[in-house]
Amino acid sequence: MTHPLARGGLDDVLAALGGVLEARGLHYELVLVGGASLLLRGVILRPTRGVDVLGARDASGGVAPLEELPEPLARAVADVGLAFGLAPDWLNLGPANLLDLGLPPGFEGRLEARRTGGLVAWVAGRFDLACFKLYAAADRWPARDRHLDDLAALAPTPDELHAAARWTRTHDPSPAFAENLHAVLGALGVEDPDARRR
Amino acid sequence: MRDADSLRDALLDRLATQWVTLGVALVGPADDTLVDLEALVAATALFGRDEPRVYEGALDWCARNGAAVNGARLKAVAGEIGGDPSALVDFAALVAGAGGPRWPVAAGRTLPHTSRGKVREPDLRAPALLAWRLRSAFGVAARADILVVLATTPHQAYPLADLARLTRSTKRNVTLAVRSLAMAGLVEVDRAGNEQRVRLTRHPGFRDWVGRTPAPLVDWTARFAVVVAVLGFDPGLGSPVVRAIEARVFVERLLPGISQADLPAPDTAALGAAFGVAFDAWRGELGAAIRP
Repeated sequence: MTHPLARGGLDDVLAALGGVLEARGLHYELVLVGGASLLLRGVILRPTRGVDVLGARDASGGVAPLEELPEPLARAVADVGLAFGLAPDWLNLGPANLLDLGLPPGFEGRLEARRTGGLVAWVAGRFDLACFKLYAAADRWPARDRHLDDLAALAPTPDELHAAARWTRTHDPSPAFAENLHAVLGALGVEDPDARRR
Repeated sequence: MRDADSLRDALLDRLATQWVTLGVALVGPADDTLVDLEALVAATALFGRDEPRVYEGALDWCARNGAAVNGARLKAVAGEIGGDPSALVDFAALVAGAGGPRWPVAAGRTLPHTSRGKVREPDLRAPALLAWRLRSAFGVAARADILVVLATTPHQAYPLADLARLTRSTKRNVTLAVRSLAMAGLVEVDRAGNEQRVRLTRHPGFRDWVGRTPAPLVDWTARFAVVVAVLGFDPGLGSPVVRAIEARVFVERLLPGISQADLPAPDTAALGAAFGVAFDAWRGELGAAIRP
């Protein structure tokens, strides 16, 4: 039986992973998105099934895509998972299309480092998380699921939502998406300025 | 992670009792479990130097009675038990140097050794010596080892593959041996579908000759393999939780062997750093299971 990760547990397993990596002479810098990032930032309290990795932070400070987790890292992740009753891929690659279609401008500068042993976990910024959650909520509309709840918990300002909305349209310029986006913003009590211009 | 010395002591005590059972002049009780000669030799080669009187006594016995040891099975069993292979090479070279048999594992080497001769002839009718007794009667080959398995579990029928696994012999050797034993009326072969199942003859004559058998049957090769692995395990440097993780990974790999050896398993439901405590407790249980 595998266990979801609440905040305390998430801190523990990331620290354990960092310790294992250090003991094995390994070092990785990973960029995290998704529910784990929200937990680490204290935005949500609900447990998450796992940790989504966007990519590796490279020497220039950018985010490098990963086809798959490097084998020593994957093995360390599986070993920590075994020890903590988690799925062997409790830390795994998240949505790769975010990198393909472009991250919000200034994404790298808003990353926050959590260093533990042989692991540096770069946590996505609050604004960027709002961008991703807005995209997911609009993509799934009219379903009102955790993405909408998480977006509300992030408490973005109207200006932040407008900027996030402009970014989401770069990922999906279709009229159907725009309609959903308008509905999500309305559910959050925010007018969609771009809807007036259409 | 503690109790390494305790587990090592338990192993040495077990080895000593088995050599006492075989007739080596050591102070201590005899073992009442079935002695697996090759497992005992392999384990003694690895750890016997920690107890010189046991190591010297083992060399004395092998120099005198080493012909009862199956050289090919010794290599297979030693491989399964693990540890530093050079230890067995050295032990076998010393046996050869003392005038004992030249087992293949010695690879032609001899090392000078003078036997002290402190070995007496035991009564092979002792249940713990059934394997040696059957080899004395039927030769040092698969035939005798098959009869050991069947005689100690007379109401059970075994597929050929299971006999090969239990005797650490090849299926081909087991098949040939079973054919001979069946022709001699010592075993019965039943067919269940495509599978042959072998049991000891129901004729009372052979069972009367065997007499009392050791119970329960202990797979010492499998047990020594677990102990060797645990004694060789190093969780490395790191926090208690990191060492517990490395221990958990180690135990996961060892679980099939623990099951085969019919040994207690550690509490794998303990998570995170708590497994370190569970692992330490298990080492104590392991020592208790190995100690005579």
